[in-house]
Amino acid sequence: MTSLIGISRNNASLPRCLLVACALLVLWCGAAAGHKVNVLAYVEGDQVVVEGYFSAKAKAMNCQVEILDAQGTKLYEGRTDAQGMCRLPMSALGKVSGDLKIVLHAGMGHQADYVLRASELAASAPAPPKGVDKKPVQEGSANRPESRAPDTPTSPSEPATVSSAMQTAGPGQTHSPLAPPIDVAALTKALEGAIDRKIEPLVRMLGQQQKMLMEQKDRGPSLSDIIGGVGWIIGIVGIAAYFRGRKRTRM
Amino acid sequence: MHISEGVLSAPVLAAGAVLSIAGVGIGLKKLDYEKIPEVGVLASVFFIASLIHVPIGPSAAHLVLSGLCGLLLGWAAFPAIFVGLTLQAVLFQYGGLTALGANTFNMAFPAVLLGLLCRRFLGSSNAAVRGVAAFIAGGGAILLSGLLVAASLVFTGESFVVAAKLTLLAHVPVMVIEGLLTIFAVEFIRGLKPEILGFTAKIRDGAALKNSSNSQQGDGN
Repeated sequence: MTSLIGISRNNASLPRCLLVACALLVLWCGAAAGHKVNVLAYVEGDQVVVEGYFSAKAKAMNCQVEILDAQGTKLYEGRTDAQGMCRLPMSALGKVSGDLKIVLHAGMGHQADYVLRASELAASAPAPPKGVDKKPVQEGSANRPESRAPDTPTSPSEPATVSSAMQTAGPGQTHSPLAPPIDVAALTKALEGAIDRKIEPLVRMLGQQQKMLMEQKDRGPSLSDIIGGVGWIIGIVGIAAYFRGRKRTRM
Repeated sequence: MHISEGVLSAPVLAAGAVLSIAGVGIGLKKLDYEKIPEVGVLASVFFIASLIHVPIGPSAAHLVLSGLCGLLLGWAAFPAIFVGLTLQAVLFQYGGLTALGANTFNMAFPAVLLGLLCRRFLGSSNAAVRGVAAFIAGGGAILLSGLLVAASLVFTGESFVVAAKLTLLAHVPVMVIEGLLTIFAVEFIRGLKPEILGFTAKIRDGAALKNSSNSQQGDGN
C-alpha cells in the first residue's frame, strides 16, 4: 500500500507507470492465444489419436475424452495425458459403423467435439467388404487375387449375395483361360484392398493438411477481429447516444 | 469462465437468459446520456481483456475485468458486459450465442453487486480503504462469477465439488491479478478524472486541497 500512496501522490508519473505496467502485462501474456478449447482426432495405424488443445502451446492436459458413435452411445472414455493426447487402439471401440463423435471436456464448461468420419476410419483399417466372407483382409490378399479366386466360391460359408454366375463359372476359371474372369466378389475385394493401400498415404496427408488448417484457424483472434469488435462497440455507443440524445432534446 | 455452447441444460440457459434480460433492462433504464461513452469504453476494455491470458493449470484463464466494469458503471455494467460477451462469442468463438444469457448473468451480476457495495468506499481519503474496496470488487467479482459458473454446471449435472474446485483453483491467480489491476485503475482514474467514480463533490473537495500544491507545481513547470 505504501508504494501505492507514493504513486498516487506523484500524479505526473502515475500514467507512465500504468502504461509500462500494461505494456509488460500484454507482452508477458501476448504469446498465448485462443481461449477456446479444440479437439482433433485422427487414425494412426491401428490407433485412434485424440488431441486436445487451447492453443498451439497450451495443451488440454488431463481432460476427459468421450467417444460416441452415430447413435450417441458411449464407446470409450479416457483422459488426455500431459501432451494433451489420448491414444486408444481401434479394437477398444469394438465394431464401429458410421461416424464417431469425439467430445473433450476441459472442465468449467469448456467443451469441444470433433467428428471422425467413417471413411477416415475405414481408410486406415480396412473393414472386410460385406457379403464376401467374415475374415479380415490379409496383407497379401491383394497381391495375388487369382490364387484366392477359386477358393471363394467353394467356401462353405458362402453368403447368398454372391451372384449365381460366379458360382457356376468360379471353379472352372483356372482351367479354361478363355473364360472371362467373373469372380466379381473376390475381384472387388482385391481391388478395394489395393486401392485402400494406395490411397492411405493420401488420406493421411489430407488429414495432416486439415489439421494444419484447423490450427491456423484456431490460432486465436486476429487483429482485424479485435479492431472490428471495438468498432462495433463504438457504433453501438453512437446508436445509444443518438436515441438517448433524441429523448433528451424532446424533454 | 465462458461456458461453451451445448454444455448447460435448457432450464439453466433459460434462467440465465431471463435474469440477463432483466439486468440489461435495468442497466439501460438507469443509463444516463452522459454515461454512454463511459459504458462503451468499459465494454471495449472487457471485450479486449479476454485476450490477455494468465497461463495456469490445466485450463486457460484470462483477464475478465468485470469487477472494474461493475465498480465504474453500476447497473450499466450489465449492458456493457452483454455487448462485450456477444462480440467475443461472434468474433472469437468464446462461449456461444445460446449460452450468452447464462454467461452474461454469471459475469455481470457479481460485478454489479460488488461494484455497488464497494463503490461508496472509493470516496474515502484513506488510500488503504480505497485499495481494499477496489481489490474486493475486482477479485471478488471473479470469485463470485466462478461460483456462479460452478452452480450453473451443478444444475446441469456436474458434481459440485469437482466443478467448484476446478473453477476456483483456476481463477485464484486471475482474482489476485484482477484485484491489483482494479486498484491501479481506480487510483489512476481518481487522479485523472475523479468524476467518473461518481464522487464528484466529495473528491473534488478533498482533492482540491491536496491537488492545489500539485497543480501549482505543474503550472510552474
